[in-house]
Amino acid sequence: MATEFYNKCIEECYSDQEQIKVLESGTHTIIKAGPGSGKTRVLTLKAAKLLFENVEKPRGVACITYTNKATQELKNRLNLYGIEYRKNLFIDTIHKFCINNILLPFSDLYSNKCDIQKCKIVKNLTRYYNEFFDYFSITDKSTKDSYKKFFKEYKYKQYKNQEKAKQAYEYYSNIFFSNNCLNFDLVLDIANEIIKDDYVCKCIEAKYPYILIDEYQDSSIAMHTLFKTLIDKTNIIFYIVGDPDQAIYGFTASSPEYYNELYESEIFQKIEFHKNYRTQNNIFTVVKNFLTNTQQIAAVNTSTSCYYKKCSNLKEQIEYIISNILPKLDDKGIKRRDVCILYRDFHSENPIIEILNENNVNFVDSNKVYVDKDFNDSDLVTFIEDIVLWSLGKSKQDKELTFKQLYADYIRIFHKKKILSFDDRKELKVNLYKTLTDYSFDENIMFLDFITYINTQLNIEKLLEDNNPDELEVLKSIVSKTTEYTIIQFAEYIESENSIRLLSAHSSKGLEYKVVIIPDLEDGRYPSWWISSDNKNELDEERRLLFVATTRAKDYLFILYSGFYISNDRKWEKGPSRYFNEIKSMFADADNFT
Amino acid sequence: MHISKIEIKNYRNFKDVSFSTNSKMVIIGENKSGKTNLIQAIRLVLDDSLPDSKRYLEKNDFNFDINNPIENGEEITISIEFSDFSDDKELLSIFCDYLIAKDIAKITYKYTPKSEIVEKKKKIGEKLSINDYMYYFYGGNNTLNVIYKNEFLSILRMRTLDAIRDVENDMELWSKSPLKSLLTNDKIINQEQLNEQLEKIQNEISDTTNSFKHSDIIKLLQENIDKYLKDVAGVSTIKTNINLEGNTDANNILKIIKIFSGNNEHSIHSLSQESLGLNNLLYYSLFMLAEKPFKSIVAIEEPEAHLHPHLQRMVFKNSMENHPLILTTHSQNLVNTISDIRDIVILNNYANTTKISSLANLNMTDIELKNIQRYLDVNRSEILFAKGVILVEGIAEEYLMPQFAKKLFGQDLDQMGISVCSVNGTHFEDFVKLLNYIHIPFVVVTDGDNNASTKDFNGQSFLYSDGIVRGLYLINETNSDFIENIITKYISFIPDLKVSNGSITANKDLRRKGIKLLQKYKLDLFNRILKNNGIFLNETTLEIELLKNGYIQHFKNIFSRYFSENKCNLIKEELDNQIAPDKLIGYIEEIGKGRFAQELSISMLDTDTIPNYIKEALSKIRDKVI
Repeated sequence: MATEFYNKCIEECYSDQEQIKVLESGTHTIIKAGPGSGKTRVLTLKAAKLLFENVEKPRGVACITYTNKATQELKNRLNLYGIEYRKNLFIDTIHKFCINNILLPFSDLYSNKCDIQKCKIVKNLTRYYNEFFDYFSITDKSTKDSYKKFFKEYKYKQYKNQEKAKQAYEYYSNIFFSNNCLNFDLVLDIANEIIKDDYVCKCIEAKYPYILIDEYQDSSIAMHTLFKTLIDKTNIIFYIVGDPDQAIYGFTASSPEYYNELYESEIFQKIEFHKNYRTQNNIFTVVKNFLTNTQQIAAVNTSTSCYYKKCSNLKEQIEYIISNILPKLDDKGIKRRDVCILYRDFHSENPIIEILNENNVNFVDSNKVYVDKDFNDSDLVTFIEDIVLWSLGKSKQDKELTFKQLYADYIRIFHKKKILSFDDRKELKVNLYKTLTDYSFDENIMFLDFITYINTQLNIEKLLEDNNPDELEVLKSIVSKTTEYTIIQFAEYIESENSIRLLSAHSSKGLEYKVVIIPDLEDGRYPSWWISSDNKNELDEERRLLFVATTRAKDYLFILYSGFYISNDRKWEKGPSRYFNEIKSMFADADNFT
Repeated sequence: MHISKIEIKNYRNFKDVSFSTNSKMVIIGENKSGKTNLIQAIRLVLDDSLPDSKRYLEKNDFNFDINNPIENGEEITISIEFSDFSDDKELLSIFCDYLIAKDIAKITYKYTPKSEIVEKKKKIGEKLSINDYMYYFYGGNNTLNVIYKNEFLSILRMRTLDAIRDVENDMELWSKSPLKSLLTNDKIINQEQLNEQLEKIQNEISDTTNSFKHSDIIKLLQENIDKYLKDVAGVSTIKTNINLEGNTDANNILKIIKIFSGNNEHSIHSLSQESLGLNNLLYYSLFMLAEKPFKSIVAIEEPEAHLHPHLQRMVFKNSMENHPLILTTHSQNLVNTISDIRDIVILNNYANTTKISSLANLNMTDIELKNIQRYLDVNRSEILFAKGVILVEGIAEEYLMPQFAKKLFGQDLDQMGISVCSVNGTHFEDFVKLLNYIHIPFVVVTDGDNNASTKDFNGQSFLYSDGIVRGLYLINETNSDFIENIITKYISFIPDLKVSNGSITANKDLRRKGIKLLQKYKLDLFNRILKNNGIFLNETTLEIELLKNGYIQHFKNIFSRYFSENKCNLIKEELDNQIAPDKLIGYIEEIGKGRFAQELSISMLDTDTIPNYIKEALSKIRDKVI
């Protein structure tokens, strides 16, 4: 049953000409939508509408996202619209889509490379890559990088020395098969093999007459090939959302060209969202000037004020933030957690942390707790955060925590390979509830003790080992990084109102903050100094990165620079980012910010 | 969509059975052979109306041959495979997660002790109990591919009509009535329009009853009652209300809708006045109609218990169109109406364990199948229901065999469950294949057709027997290396016949030559081999055999009734002087073999006169049946 909330959202959509088009469209549709245009909302509404009106059980709809975070968000929203999980309602990443719908059901029938039922998916690939590099005696970093890209693209490209390429790929894939492992790239490669069969396509069409894909600009060639096969061979109707201007994951072999290819295809109805519900006109007008894929975005709701400040070095930039910007924001009643500092990479991350610590400024740096950036997207991390917050009676900024949700996650993460009877489920539920509520919470207890307690009660280490071995690595790593935290400190760390947020520009995608501060905006950092001036593709991606970073801001955007960068212990005075120079006219001096 | 294969392990009388099925299944077998258990096994997987508690089995649901099944942690599994569903998108969207091959999906119900409890109890040396058991379903061949039954039962369903039911009662009771499923289903009746109608009726009832309620006579009665209450009982607080109307909301009106019967509008009567047969037909029709819009598998137990043979046939033929159908039956009549004998599933009970032979598995060519089908059509499928079968060549044996048996055993073959089946010729192969396959014991009684004038390669005459060749060939049908083995065993010394593997069965001519030579030396030996395999031969033909066994006077009597005196005398003389078989058969055929046998059977002599090979055959089949 559709909820009131759903009806309200639908009504809202109907006041927007472009969004109506999406809701009404019954054919392949591709949507170009900039930051803050409400694209994810429209996509979820479209999914809900299809489920309520167009799809007859037991057939369903597939919503494909690129991160677990986005998946969670989509699930939460659909839940609010009154969509309950059911068979053939798929909301998850492209990899899960391949595993559940192609590899597991059809691996027996079509592929004999390895026993997929027994394979586990590994995320940390270093060990396997090294085996390859050792065998071929590759030591040079750039060669390694180009091989990593090669693994992702081999199946879909032509090579001059086809025989050599084939050997390399087979050696690489056998490293995984012989360890009964698969990585995400191999999952896609195998899926692309299997899906060549018409019957497999027929089955997927039977399950999902509609497929919706978010953030298509992040598609790699493997994903793109998969979708194109389905588009060509089935009657599945696709709704695709993307923003080629936000493609910043070139290092994972994704490219906006695949999005553009579909956008130019005749079979797709094209819809462009022009309205922006987040940031003010000026920043976008400015930004569009320096983007290759220009689009007109009109402001609707709020306005972003943009400020810049030139300091003599990075230290001064951060100190300026601490002594001038933050107090003024406090005066305006803006909570610290709504403020975000975006850094370029670890070169600037470390000094920033140092200075913040020196000045006793509370901040949350997700990369510090969760070392590997994959952890940002780990279900286990989310679960641990959730149980800590729930146990302390706190809530999360972006979602409401309920025991029902915790329990569902618990089963999904720790018991996914077990066959559970009704009684088993009841027992697990009671056990989880007791464990979480029986713990007498002294706020000063060490986080580590809490984890140990959870482990003795629920035996999570063993469960992870059986059910989710790569998350076990994550658990161990968290434990090793958080030894000096009390539980309340950990909770503050993840969800403190009084801490500002520290993030890399890359991981800011899809998030939004009232205030965004970008220090270190030097030419040589944006774009990075090592990109040569004739590499248009990479330079374009640098542009888009800055576009993504600047458009995270809802109310205020601050930019700081010193006019030089340091590399190899040498100072290079190239001035502020060349992109900033293009948009500088829209910025006011931060000294005038009150 | 239809069920294409069923596998059952450890459930009730099924230890380990696996059989393919046609789109329809007609299950036959004696009482207690497990027909109802088979249906129940399928229901455990597919019947969404089966209460969940029934899927938690009990100790006596385990096969009786297993000792201490629960203590030993035995499992019960029931797997059902489906095929022909891929053009139905709804079914495919569910089944494609359970595939074991293209267009073949498999769902398994598994009743098993919980693994962690098994480990735990093993450690502390405690025995398992029924409470440690759970059930689950999985799809395909991967036991980890656990599925929730609602996942597939929301689209697929199974409905069963029991053998024992009280139709009249069921139709009167709203909760059991098939009328309920018809009236409340949106796919059959537009619920909105129905409710509109019901509300209209509701309003009309209210209107009508109001005028009744307010009429003077009723008011007067009401006043009288109230006055009485006040005067006699001293109660003045109660006001009575006399009305026709009960609770007339739409739902209640729906529940009192009933079905009536009658030839025209003026002669309508309630079902209790109707014949049981008609009620059954009506119930059956409503039931099938209610299933029509669903993808349902319909199981009907013993339709013959309630329907007249004619109706059985009609109903069966018509209802087979739309749905995968499962029938259990004792009725030859019903089996006869089957257009494809591959629909037949035969259950045979041995001790506590049932063997299942599904004719869908039968390895036969279309022509062979048609032969069998033709025979079954004419003979009301009798052999499928028999405990034992005597296969004979023709009508003469068919008449005489029961008489011989009665003399020999003092009992009718019918009583013993033995059928005599005439194949009208010597093509026993199809029947032997079928009977072997369905585990029904049989013997073959056939003529030796010995012929002394056959010449071998050197031009020398020798005694040749067509019957023996036929017999050996028959054994070879079910035991394909048989003849090759015999040839290697007995005649490997003949260089001409040394042939490489495989070509012996391929080259019929060569085999014949081999056999011809063989029997020159080993006639008795082969007769023995044939007997051991249930094939019994005479020397030439039945009639000659009878003649030898003291029936000469009978023959003379019969001939005298059919032929002129002159001819008769001639024949009698020939009979006394060892008549040539061809000639005798010639005379008998003038009368008609059947007629001759009938005449003969009326005046049967005592047991001593039964030809030996027939005595042996009868004893053998009796032993097999008992």
